[in-house]
Amino acid sequence: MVDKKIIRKVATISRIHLSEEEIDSLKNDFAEVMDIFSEIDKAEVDGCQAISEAKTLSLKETSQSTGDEHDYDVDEIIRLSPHRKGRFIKGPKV
Amino acid sequence: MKDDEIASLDEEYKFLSKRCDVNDPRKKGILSPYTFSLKDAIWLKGVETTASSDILEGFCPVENSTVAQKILENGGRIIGKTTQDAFGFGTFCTNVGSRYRVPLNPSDKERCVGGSSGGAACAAKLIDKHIAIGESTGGSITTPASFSGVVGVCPTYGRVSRHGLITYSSSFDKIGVMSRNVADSAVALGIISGMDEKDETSSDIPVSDYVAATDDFSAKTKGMKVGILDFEGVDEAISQRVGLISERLEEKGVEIEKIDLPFTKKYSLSAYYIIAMAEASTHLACLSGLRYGKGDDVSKEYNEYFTDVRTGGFTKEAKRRIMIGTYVRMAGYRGKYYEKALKVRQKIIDEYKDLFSRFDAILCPAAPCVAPKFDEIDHMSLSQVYSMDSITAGPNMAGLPNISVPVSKSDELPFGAMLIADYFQEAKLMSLGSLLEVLR
Repeated sequence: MVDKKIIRKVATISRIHLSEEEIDSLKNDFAEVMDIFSEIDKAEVDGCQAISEAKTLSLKETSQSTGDEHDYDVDEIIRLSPHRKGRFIKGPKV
Repeated sequence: MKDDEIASLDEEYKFLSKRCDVNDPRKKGILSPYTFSLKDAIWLKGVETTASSDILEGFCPVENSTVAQKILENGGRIIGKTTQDAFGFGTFCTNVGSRYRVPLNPSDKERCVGGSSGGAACAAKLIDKHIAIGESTGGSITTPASFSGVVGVCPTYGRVSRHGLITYSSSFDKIGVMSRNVADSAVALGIISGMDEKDETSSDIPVSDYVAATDDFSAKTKGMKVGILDFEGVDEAISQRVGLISERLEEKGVEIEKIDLPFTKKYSLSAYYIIAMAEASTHLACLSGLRYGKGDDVSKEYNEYFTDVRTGGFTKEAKRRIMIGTYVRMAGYRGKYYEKALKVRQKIIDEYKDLFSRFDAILCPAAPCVAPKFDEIDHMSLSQVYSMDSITAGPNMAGLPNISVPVSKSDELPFGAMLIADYFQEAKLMSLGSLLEVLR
């Protein structure tokens, strides 16, 4: 059972503010979704490998280097930032 | 079709998140007869690309995605970005950011177009000689194709480069095509497929000639063996129609046999949502309003700044998926959910591999129902919404290619039949899909 304390902890880790109303709503959502997820408790997977590498799915024998093909204009990339100072990206104080 | 006609259709059905007109006038090629649209998660240089979210407001990529580049190099003209569920989180294309309009089904404006590539399906249906580039994580091409009455092709994982795709779930995401017929999809898929040095998950396996696969398809499909897969909870009319189509395939010399995938049918939906949400929660961690997208008051304290940007920028569904995805990766829960789901995934792949050692393809409904009405969607529980992916979760878990072809009668709301093939066997799907088109 996922309680409100866990919901608050997950929200903090996820960097999301929640109102009390949203916490109540998410508590119900978690219960419903965990019910779906608990289905896999019954799955027999002895001897199965945990597939976490996307490469395994694409059936490739070797990985390839992504190299240095990007030819970005640094100024263009900096211009994408909402806060800038000269050629620097400005962020909140640590 | 003229620009003002497209604008008028967009005004009525609301499928474009951004209009544009991008082509390379020096390039003429096989794609010159077509107009294209890109799902809003796919980069187009200088054109706002947000995956229909609020948090990426103002983000204009500094280069083209590989798919967009290939379209332009082969003479294609890109006329817009299509609306989607924000970041692909949805089944009906209703979870869009606050600046976006919900697309309306071309057959009935009170119904959804399906998601998450909903705007793409709508564009493919409404615009003449148009190819919409979509993306599927767990069924986001097949479902809207079925609901909107168009062909949707989701290729093998790694067949099409994802360089320049805003990620939902990297071990699932696949870029594919949607169009009014199989032949047009074959043309486009042939161009956008292939290895790309900018995407290390793209495959170097040679690309087959998909256009040739649509020629003389009767001869090519004669003797093929197709397994028929039933699902519980599918509308009776859809099950009956797919059954009828299988009988017609048999009359054309295709060998038909009923099959089952018991493990996949039982566990693919839960395992899919666990892995997809876990991956999504990590991929979206980079969205913080610092390097790009929507910012906030930079004088705020460090954590407050990021938290405020994310709280204001994500839809309700995005927050839900990030939260659940974070939870299933946390110490104490990781083994029970995430790691177990990864093992389930391996067993699902093994079940398909065993089947494809004996069959050329699988035939089943593409979706359990026709496009629901918006007021029906409002009253669905979360588990009812997520279970809409119960048919498509399997092939997407395994990274297998699949195609949805409309098979409904002309006086019915549209629905599709889905064909699934073994890895990199898209040509077989093109041949069988072409045959389905003439049998419906």
